[in-house]
Amino acid sequence: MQSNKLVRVGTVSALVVLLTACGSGGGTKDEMTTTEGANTNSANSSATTSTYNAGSQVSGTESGSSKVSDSKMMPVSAADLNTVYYFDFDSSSIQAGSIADLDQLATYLKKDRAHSVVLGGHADERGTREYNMALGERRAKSVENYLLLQGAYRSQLEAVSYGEEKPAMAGQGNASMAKNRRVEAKL
Amino acid sequence: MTSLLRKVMACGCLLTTFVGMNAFADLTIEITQGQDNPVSIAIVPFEWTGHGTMPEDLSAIASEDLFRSGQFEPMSRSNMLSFPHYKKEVHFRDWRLLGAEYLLIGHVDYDELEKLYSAHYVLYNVPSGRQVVAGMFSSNALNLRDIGHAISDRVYEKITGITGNFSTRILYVTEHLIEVNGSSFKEYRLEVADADGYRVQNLLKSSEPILSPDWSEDGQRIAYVSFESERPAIYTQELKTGKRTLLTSYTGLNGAPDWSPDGTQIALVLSKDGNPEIYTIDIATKKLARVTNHFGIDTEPRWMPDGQSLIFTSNRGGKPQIYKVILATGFVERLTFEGDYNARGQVTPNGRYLVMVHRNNGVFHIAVQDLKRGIVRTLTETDLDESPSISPNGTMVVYATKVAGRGILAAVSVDGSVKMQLPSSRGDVREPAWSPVIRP
Repeated sequence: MQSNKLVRVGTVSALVVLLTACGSGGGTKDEMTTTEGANTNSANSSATTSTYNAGSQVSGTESGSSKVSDSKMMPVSAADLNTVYYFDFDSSSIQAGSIADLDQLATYLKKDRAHSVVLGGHADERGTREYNMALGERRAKSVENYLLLQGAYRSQLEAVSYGEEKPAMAGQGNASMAKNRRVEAKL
Repeated sequence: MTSLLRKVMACGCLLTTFVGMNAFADLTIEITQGQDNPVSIAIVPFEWTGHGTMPEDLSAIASEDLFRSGQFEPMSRSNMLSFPHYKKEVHFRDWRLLGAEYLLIGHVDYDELEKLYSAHYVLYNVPSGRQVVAGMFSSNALNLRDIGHAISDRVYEKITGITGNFSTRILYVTEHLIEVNGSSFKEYRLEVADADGYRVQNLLKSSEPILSPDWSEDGQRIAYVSFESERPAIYTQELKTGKRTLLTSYTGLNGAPDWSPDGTQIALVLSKDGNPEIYTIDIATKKLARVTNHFGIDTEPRWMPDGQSLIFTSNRGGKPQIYKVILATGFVERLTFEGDYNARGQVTPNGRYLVMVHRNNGVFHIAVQDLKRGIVRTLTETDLDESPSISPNGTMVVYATKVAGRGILAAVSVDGSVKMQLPSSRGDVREPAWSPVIRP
């Protein structure tokens, strides 16, 4: 359990609430946002939270410092991996152009079973938000399934959808929407 | 403060605040299309019997409410020949000459001891000179605008025969780009405002997305999806106390909460078993019941007004379409056939009309399908229209759209005759949810 996963809710002072939430590991049970997820999938979440939290903004490029030093010993280094895979409109099929990149990612995961990856699925802004949330999950799971077939362990992978909520590019043109239909692997 | 904000960013945490109510409208309302023959009504400025100036111009609130419905044309004060406050001061002949069909007069008293404002109003039918309705509403200073809306509701109901929705509220999500010392980050806010855009209150702020807000049937609680833990989770929150409860945070999707008409259950989407499926959860016991079972995407459940069935979006036929499932039997029926994308449906309280997001020639509009006759009618002209939410009396739909790349709210009547935009002064606004009629 990470202290930053705790959410403290208050109605009084924003500052007090904020400091409590960020600074302490306290909090009552029903305020923990991860309780059920951790129960059902503890191996998964404990394996991924440290690196995931290090780069909490999806567009960020940094990864956890411990992982960077680990990967220096690997033939496939984290820095060399292409971690964004694009999709066609309303489709969750992996594009042929992504296969080589995904194979590299699978190799990276197989080299060290301590490596893990969060697969963030995204959609462009067309269509309804909750449908796009489901579509983003489909895309993330397509990538997850491909990596499983290539020999990655289920415990190394987590699929999370952000739907259309975190576009990589603003704007409504076809070019920016194509950039937004994606899965981003966060190591 | 700067380091504090950084801390918010760094830990992805959030806070809930009840800031003081904003007296100024954050959402302004511009009527873009009104009815062809609106009812002409003269709303005379109410007399103020207290000291100083009246803290709120109640007759102006009523006038703006009725104008905003698109069904009324309130007379300009500058055209009025007199400002009567009591029947003995009314000369019906003058109002007939001015073309007013209805006349609303009144006065406001202040009780120093009780600190209570009381507005007395009388509505007349001008041609006959008869009284249509009269009454009195009281409140403290904080809730004075409620009196104006309550009078609007009475007038609207007496003239149209339809329950007024001026005392309702709109829940919505805004997205802001916050700049601090050269670095910028996103902030998502869940806010609630009166249906006229006034009295904005912040309910939640987060550095991670908030979506799919929904009201309980009594208007006292809300449910929404928050990514504050960087995974989706559904929360419920009491509006009066701000108390939040985590409802679900299963692995995978936790989405699209919709409160049941009897207030005991919430329909939602979970993908914990592999696929996005519709479930219902009993709020008291947290007991889940699975409703759908299909390898396709099933999402956006919405209770039918009778609480016996749900409608939902599914791509089980290849493209997203709206289906209905009877909860007792699990029987599934497809409702939409026109167009290759119909989603996020909601049925009007009388069960007659299905309001939805409908794609036509690649453009997303709000459309309404007559469930009796099957006819689909597109209500909006803008692109990327989404998140329709029906007013409790079933006459209006508020929805999100984009104008010049910016998210704003807009509204359209279910019959398509009245259209308005609600531009906000700040941020991107989206995902409106119209409250039920809230009984204090």
